[in-house]
Amino acid sequence: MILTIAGNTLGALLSRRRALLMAVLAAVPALVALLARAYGEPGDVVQQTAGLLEASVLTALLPLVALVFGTAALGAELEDGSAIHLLTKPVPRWRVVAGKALAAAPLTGLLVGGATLVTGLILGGDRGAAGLTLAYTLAAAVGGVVYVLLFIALSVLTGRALIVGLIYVAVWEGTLAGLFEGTRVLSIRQYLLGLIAAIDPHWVAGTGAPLAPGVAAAGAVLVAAGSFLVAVQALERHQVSAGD
Amino acid sequence: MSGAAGGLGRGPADGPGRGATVGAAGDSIYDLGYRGYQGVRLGRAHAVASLVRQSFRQSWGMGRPGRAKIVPFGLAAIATVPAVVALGISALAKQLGAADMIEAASPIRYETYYPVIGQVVFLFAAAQAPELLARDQRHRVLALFFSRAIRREDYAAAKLLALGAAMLAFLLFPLAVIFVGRALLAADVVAGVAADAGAVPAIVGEALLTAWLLAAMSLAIASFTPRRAYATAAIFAVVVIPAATVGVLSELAPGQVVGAVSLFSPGDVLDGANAFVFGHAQAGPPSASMPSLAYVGSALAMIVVSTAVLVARFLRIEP
Repeated sequence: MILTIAGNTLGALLSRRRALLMAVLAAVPALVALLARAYGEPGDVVQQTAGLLEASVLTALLPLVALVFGTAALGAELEDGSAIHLLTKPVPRWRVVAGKALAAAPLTGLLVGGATLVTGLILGGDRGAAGLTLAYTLAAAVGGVVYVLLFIALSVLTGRALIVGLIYVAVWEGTLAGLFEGTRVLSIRQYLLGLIAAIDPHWVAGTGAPLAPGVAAAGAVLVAAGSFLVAVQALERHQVSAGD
Repeated sequence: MSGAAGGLGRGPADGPGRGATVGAAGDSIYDLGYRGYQGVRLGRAHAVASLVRQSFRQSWGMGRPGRAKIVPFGLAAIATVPAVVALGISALAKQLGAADMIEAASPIRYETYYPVIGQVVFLFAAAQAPELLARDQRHRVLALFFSRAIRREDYAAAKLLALGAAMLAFLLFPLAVIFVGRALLAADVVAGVAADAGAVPAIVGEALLTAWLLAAMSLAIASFTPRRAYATAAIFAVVVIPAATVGVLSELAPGQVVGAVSLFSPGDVLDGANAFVFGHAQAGPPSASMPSLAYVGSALAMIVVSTAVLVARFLRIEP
């Protein structure tokens, strides 16, 4: 049953203009890498690649793609009321959430991971940044799962999950992270950077010490598992609305 | 339809009668009392003004349940926090007798305020522009609008005016807080106001430019989809992706390429225009110094294109 839900959701997510727009979005970092390759100044290629992947993929592309797929997987159905067809079937709610996540998370991981791989290889693949690119690709895949689960939970809790998610990404992980270093303990981006730093500390370009590997891993698992439970809980109590 | 002779009673003389008139052949036609409107017709201008007022309220979630107000007012609160913090620090420093030192070191001044709250302003536009347009398309209300005195271009203009006004309020409120706060902090209130009065044209000018640019751009994007979520994501992406690109490129490939790319990034354009109105000749990403006037030109070009797209979209839209 999980697989059936996942299959249907996958079809819905890939339909129409959205998939095309997401692909265009995913192509931007690679384009930047090409520009940087063409006009770039000589320097530490590993640092440059790390900086590019962190700023364009982990900070902008990954949360945005996960946000769109995560909230569209379940939230769109809940909003327009057609979720009632799914919710009135004798399927445990945890399977519904699992099915939705099983469609959105791999899709996000595949798209963003692919973008990371291409971008990193263009900029530094032949200049010693291939290992780093692989690490960032893995981090993007892990991040896809965590972000998607979080945003699925959000989309069950509120009808405006997308804007709430954007506020989290832009204000909490963006502006506040620069001012209050403590917020990094509650930031998925920092978990991913911590995981990458666990492989090789030189692969993280940003300022400030990355999280310890244990904290990063535990944080990622806790957010993913917590979001899943919250989503199931909220879906069990969800009142089907007639749309807005 | 009106086969029966003398059947249909129309006009004031007949009164609002709901009775049946018996025709020649014995069959009857029911007079339902429909009557024409004889009152004053308020016309196109009034209709547009009403739509502007209604849309302005919509963009703040007024007239809707509390849930709809959380996002706009929450964002406005976030945008005001730096102003309150800056005032608090100034007041504290004055008590400690270190006012001049703090004043010079403070990162929150009139000049730096828009860049500081930039992200929140983009979020407001991304969140509220679809609120103004999506429902009318989704629930097929546009046909009703267009069948009345309002023309298609009026609808687009009214929505632009409403969101622009809402964003202007959003942008000016925190700076008004600082302005009033600083005036009250000064020992001589009149002198305090006079000292800051010189910054007012720049503050208002940048707010106007920002409000018009972001309102036109986000409405133009939002007009292409009846789904609010997609519109929100698209508006945010159009601002954030170019900004991230410029940020990365300015480190990797300093020079004229970054400068040229930054002219197409709304966030960087507004920062550059902000530098211009506050009297800096140079602006742009740190590695590529550009004349700040170029950003004002780019902002105006973006305004023209966005407004044109918005109007053109509603001229062709299938209601």
